[in-house]
Amino acid sequence: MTRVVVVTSGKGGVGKTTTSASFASGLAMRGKKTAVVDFDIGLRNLDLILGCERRVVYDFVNVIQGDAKLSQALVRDKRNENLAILAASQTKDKDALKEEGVKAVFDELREMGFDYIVCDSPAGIEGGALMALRFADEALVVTNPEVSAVRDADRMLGIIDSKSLRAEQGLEPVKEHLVITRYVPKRANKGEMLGHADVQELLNIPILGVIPESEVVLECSNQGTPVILADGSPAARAYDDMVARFLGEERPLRFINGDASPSLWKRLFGG
Amino acid sequence: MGLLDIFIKKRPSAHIARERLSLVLAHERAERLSTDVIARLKEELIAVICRHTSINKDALNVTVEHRDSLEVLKVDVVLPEGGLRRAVT
Ligand SMILES: Nc1ncnc2c1ncn2[C@@H]1O[C@H](COP(=O)(O)OP(=O)(O)OP(=O)(O)O)[C@@H](O)[C@H]1O
Ligand SMILES: [Mg+2]
Repeated sequence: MTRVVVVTSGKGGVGKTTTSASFASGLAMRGKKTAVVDFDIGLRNLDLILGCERRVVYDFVNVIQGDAKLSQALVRDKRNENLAILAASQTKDKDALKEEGVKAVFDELREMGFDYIVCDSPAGIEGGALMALRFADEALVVTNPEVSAVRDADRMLGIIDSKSLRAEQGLEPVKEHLVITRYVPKRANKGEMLGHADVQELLNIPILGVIPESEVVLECSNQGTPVILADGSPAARAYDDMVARFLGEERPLRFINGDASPSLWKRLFGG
Repeated sequence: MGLLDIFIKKRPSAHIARERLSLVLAHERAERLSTDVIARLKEELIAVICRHTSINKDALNVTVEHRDSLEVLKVDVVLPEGGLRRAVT
């Protein structure tokens, strides 16, 4: 049974693509056959973050419009054979994503035996963002500890609860998970930043992960490596915990205290 | 710097953020809920009215109005020429 997981937020730039790349890689590392699909038509980025941009020949819209076969468009990850990427179109307009087209592609991914389809949503609450959440079984709602990101996340939760296929058909609701990124424990503890517990209480869905603000994230995007592979860095470990929790493991939150002595990693690399 | 400034500074801004958010989210959720309810009410009202009369569903309008502190559910029905008639069944 294939599960469709949307990574969404409402507000732009909160870390959806960074999270999609690490989440999908993490699932693949744990043996799950995973396809990660970029829904940000016109603003393709996931390929860069995953470091496969030069191997993209065909994209999502090419497949939907019948110009290419899905098997031709899926790019296998060089690091993990369980991971495949379907890039967004850079040239087509964003209305190119039609529900029937997306459904057909997903059905084919199901037939190919993928365990997970991870949908990297664009920002906003219409068009591509609606299409990205349409078929979702679960949702990672990404937010930052900041007022506008939290408000937009709440708005997005309302949209998932009304516009997803599951909601419309009265099926079991989309399972929603909270992911807080760019967290700075020190500032939260000083009362300068919303704490993870505050954000959780406000949005009232269970926390799947709290990812610390980290310089490693930029370094990884420079190199086209998902953050989860930056061995030993707190952000990588936080993403690894997140994937483990998603798959049912119990793991306490880490990197939320800000008082921990700098790790060996930090002393060596300044992450 | 006055005494007041010290007090204002002392209050962590994250607390203010939390309070403001909890108000605005409560408000927006209530609004969402009522739009959902109205959408469903409207559908059902239309179904009922159409079942018993020959009124066209475009002649029906369901809205919520805010009057002072009251919320008023308003159902406007434009009657067809000749007034109410039973639907031919
Ligand atoms: N934990 C983190 N620490 C530091 N920087 C981060 C972290 N997570 C994300 N960023 C940075 O934030 C920026 C936005 O991230 P990303 O592209 O993943 O967001 P997005 O939600 O996909 O944006 P968009 O809405 O434009 O698609 C990037 O520059 C990224 O490097
Ligand atoms: Mg993105």
